[in-house]
Amino acid sequence: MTDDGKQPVAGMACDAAKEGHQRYATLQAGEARIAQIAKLLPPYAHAMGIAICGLENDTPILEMEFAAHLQGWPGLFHGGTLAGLLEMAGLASVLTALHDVGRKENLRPINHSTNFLREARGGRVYAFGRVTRLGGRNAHVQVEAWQSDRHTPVAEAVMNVMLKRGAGST
Amino acid sequence: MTKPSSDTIEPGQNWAIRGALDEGAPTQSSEVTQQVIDAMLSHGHVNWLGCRYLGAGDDWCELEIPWREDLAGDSRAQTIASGPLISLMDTACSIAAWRKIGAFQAQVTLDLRLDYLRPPRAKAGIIGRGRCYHLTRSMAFVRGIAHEGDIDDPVAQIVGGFMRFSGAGAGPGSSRKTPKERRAAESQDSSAPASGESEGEQ
Repeated sequence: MTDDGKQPVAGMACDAAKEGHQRYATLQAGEARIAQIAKLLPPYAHAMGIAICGLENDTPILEMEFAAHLQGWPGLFHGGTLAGLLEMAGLASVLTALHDVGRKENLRPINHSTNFLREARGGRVYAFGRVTRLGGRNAHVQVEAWQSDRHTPVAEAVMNVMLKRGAGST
Repeated sequence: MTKPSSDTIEPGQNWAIRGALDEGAPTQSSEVTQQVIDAMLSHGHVNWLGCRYLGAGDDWCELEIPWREDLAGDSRAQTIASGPLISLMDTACSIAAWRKIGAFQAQVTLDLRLDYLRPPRAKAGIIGRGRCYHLTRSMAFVRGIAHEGDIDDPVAQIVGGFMRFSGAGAGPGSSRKTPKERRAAESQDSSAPASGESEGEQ
């Protein structure tokens, strides 16, 4: 019972995100923006098959497709993969918000609190992070992950991220 | 990265962990738990992470994920992402709960909170020790420490809770029954044992 047959339904979440970009020029700018943000995602995101599937309020929506290496219980995503997706979505949103105001800080996670609400079965999972505070030293993000129905989240996370100036690692 | 073929991810496939789940009744705890540990670490996401078993006690378990480039959460700093760390602690704490219960039981993670005490070192793997500090009939409460070899110099601390399911066939990934169906099944339980067939809905 993989959700392969339901992919068009899942794809609608992305289409809906793209509906905001009615004019072609805007859409093109959106795709350039997606490509730009995609470069900011770390190796872990690529290894997990996490990609940007659309924009909402100019902030990326991430997607992750089910594969054997993401499985926990038979047929279900491992909870850790959902936490990983939520983390990537949260970081992507903060990076985007920083980028938009011309800031280039390094991100360092302070904490990450995940709530698992439902089992995530096969198919795809989407995630979107809302930056609820972007301060000088830290950022606060709320992230949600869902499958076919945006209003039925499978997992949620709250993250606090330290923003470190300069290229150094201290 | 090669994507494994889809036949390896067919739900409900009869690998050891599902077999242990279907058995339901607790058997010799340590043996079952060791089997379950082996099964868990050789399948799915945990296997992909390269998770290794280091040790376990009455209420704890220690696992390790060696460093790998594709687990980096920061390509410049070359430090491990939170995702693998959470997966590691989730698994270690899950096993710790089974050790405390004394048997393998289906359970799902309800929540996990990870606090970084310091940044992970560049190109360092991670060791996670999870401990189940309290059990109730429906919950297992866990705490854990992630470190890089010296537990007195931890990278992160986690707290969380698992929801326990007891009884054969219950738990994540099993065929769903509505409360009404479940009550009906329970009332008929003595007269007609439940067959293994499900409607395949949901």
